[in-house]
Amino acid sequence: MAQRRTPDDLMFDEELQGESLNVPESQVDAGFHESNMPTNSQWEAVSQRLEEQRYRQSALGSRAIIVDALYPPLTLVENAENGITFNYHIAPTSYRESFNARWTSEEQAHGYLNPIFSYGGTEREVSMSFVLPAMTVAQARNNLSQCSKLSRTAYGRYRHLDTTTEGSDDTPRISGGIRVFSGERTFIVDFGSLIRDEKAVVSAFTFTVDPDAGVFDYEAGEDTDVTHSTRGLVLPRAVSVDITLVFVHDSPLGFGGRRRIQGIGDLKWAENRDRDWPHGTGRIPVQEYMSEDSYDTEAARQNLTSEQLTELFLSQNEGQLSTNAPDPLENDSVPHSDE
Amino acid sequence: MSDVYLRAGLSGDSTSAAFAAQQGYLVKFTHQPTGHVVEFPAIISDFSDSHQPAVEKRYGSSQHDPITTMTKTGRNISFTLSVLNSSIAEARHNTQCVNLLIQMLYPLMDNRNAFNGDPFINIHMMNLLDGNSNGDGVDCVIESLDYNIDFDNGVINDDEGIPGLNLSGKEIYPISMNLTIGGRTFIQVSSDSESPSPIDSNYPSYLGGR
Repeated sequence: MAQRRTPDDLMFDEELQGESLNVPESQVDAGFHESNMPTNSQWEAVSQRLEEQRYRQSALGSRAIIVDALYPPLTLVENAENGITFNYHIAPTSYRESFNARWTSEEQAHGYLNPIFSYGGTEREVSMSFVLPAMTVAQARNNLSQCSKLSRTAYGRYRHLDTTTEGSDDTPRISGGIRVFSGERTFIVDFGSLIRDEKAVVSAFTFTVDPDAGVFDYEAGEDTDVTHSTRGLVLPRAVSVDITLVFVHDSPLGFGGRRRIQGIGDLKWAENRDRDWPHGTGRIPVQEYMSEDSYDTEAARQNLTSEQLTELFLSQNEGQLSTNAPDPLENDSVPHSDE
Repeated sequence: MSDVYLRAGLSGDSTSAAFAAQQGYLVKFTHQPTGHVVEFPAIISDFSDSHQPAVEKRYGSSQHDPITTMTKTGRNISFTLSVLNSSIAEARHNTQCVNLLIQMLYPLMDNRNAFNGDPFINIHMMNLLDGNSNGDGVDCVIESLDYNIDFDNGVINDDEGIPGLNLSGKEIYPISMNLTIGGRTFIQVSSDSESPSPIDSNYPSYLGGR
């Protein structure tokens, strides 16, 4: 499909032509002479500009590439054998993370200014919305397939319970089985530095078709980029998804706690893992109160109880929460809506 | 370890942060159980402070007006604080500050992980939440904190995330985010034992002690 030229592109082309190789006009007709040859740096500049032009054309032509360049993929990996794995580039439109503290207060006597508050805990929930645009029929099919997969994350797991009874001389063998609901699915969720490999349950999923964006029409024959060959099939050009995740944290949340060494880490963040929480900050050093506790001397180590040592070990396990998570080094294999 | 004191918006070159600092428009949060402090340029898009008396109404026969009985007055606050990032360095630093604010909703724990310091937060926001005339802020119970990203203003991204902690290794920071905070405040009791009212004469002191 031909790329449509935007005013930006045209201006960029003119700029590129105008720049040429900066060879003085007097030398243009002087024949092919070594002194007229552009220098290496000129070649590099032009080649860099051409590369940039190619990128701009592709980026302007395909929103999917922009999405891939700007946003990390959303990944949900179920904590179970043969579980659901969703790993897809999305274009987020909203992200809302709510922290709700549970406070209760007793009814105060008349005239008292302040009630007695008691704290019960703090819950964390993320609601995000994203769009999956499709520029071709294949992308639209893939988007719907990914949405189907994602919608199943909102349903529970079942298992088969064998109820077969062994027969004896007097009683026949009765074979059978029942389906047993085994609860919600839990996922390890990753979305760049905003959600970093954290355990969550999907508490809401909504799939919406954007009718204003239109659909790909049917036309007999083979599938093309803009028509499909399955009569009665609706392939939207854009769908949007709202999903809500409730987090279930593996590490203690608060300050101090038993993962910290008493006297050193009493006021530090309880996780004791040398990482920021809840959002990542790249490779800059963490603030001192987030840093891992360490004992300076062997004597200090000897003073720790076995329980404290276990907790310290747990907090320093580099957070390998999931064993079947996709290899982060294979990012190229992350599908996006171009596929 | 001593208390933490973080200030957002100072590592970058955001004009709004510089203006806020120059004008003294700052909002400061202090986590009571630990003493940790985080301060933001007060880019406030919403602020409400509602004083809600609990008034019971009873009605008698052939009476238009109710017989009112007041039992107490509560005070609820809610505001939206915007945090702006103008560079990747500022975004990372501001994220650490926002992280600390979020962490303030969690308690202090003892060595058995039992909660032993409820997460009361003192908020000081210029003269709007100044406490009494001494300007030491208002003690609050924060019930909700919503972190909203405005994607229309764009994002700053990088690939320096740590794959061991972040599967994709990608970093994403909003250029603009809104923190909506809602909670209830404690009413400061007057230290003047001679005064008939337990409420300080300068309460709630919207003009501050200035």
